[in-house]
Amino acid sequence: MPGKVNPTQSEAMTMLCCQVIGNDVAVNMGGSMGNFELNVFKPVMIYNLLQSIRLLADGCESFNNNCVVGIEPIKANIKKYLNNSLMLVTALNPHVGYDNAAKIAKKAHADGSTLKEAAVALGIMTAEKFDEAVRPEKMTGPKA
Amino acid sequence: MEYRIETDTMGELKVPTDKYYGAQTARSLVNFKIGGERFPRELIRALGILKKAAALTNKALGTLPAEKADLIIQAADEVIEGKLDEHFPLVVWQTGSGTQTNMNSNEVIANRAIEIAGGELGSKKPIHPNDDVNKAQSSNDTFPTAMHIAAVEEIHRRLIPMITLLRDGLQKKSEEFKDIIKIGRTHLMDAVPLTLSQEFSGYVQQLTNGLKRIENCLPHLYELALGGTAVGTGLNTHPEFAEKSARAIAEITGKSFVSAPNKYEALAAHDAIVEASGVMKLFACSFLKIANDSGGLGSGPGCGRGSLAVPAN
Repeated sequence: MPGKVNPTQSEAMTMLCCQVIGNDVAVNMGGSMGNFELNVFKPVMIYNLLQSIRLLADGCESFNNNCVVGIEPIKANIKKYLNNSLMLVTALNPHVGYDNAAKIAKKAHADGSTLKEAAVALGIMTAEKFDEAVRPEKMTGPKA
Repeated sequence: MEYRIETDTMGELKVPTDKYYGAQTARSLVNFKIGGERFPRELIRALGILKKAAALTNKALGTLPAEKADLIIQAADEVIEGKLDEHFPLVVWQTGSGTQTNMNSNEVIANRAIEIAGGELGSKKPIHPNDDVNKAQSSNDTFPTAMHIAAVEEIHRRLIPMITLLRDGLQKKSEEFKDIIKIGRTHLMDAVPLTLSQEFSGYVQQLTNGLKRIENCLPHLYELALGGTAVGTGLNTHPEFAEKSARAIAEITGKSFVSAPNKYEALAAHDAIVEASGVMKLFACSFLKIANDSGGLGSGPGCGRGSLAVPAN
């Protein structure tokens, strides 16, 4: 597939995590089965622990240097999804109550309309009031 | 290939003339042809460190003549530096006490010391692998000591710096993304908004918490079994051997190693290793979440969530 870019660093990272979790199972088995005066699972325990340390350290370095440093937000898409979300209706809870807010969301979903159109059509609030209340930038933290 | 004859308590064995290991290592190679997993360099280095510390301690306590101790220390230094790695051929799938690998280190150090002294390899003179290199030790206390040294060194040398690198990398992105408001998702479904910065700050906190967990598991890894010998009683050691050898290891490595307060626990249980592995497992869980999120938010570019562009590689 020409030009395809895949999340290869994420895949390397998630694979090595599977190995580390498997290593931990082997270490747990070995650690739980010492008998009397000596644990006799020493080689498998340290082999697995050292491999886990190595994989995690190398994985962090690779994931940071080849992925994280270059991550960029795709702002147009992020904005589109933000404005498409019917759950912005949650901002209306303090203004019209949970039940009315749910009615607005359900109507907008059923009609394929915007939240504002649904709110006005239901007579719950005016377009102006809606615009005042639903502002995503005011929704990212607590408010007194 | 040319061979010399080496002996152990079970008899004679042929050893390649260009190798420093002896009969017990050669016997393991014959009897344990299992898999290809060999101990990493870090564990071989750890064995070198503890053999050097033991020789220094035996010298200080007067239990080993100074000229013998100095030869052992010189050869052990070469093991520490990695010059003798090719003489450690054994696989992981051997005796569960690691005895064969402990003997491998005794044999290599003895033969290299013999060579430095101008003696004949395999003669066990002037340095005997058991009586001199392994003096006041048993595989049962040396191998767990090497396990702890290797784990501590690698955690400090690689793990903490690289986790910190990634944590700081995510932190930098979190700062860059302060003004980007995005939709939150719960149950994979649309939820209320947050900033991309807030989302990334959660990843940063996961790794900050993880670094704390590493710090918390280190004190038990600092506890060393050396001085417990075969069953934890310290049979055939000087009363000060355990404490002094732990101090020597701390000096060589610059890490806060101490003698384990109870040698029975240190030989018979490896709870500190289990705990450290548990911390690694926790990091794996954190990274699965973080890497899956970045992959998921990057899905697209035309038909997925298309919210993050990740570098092509």
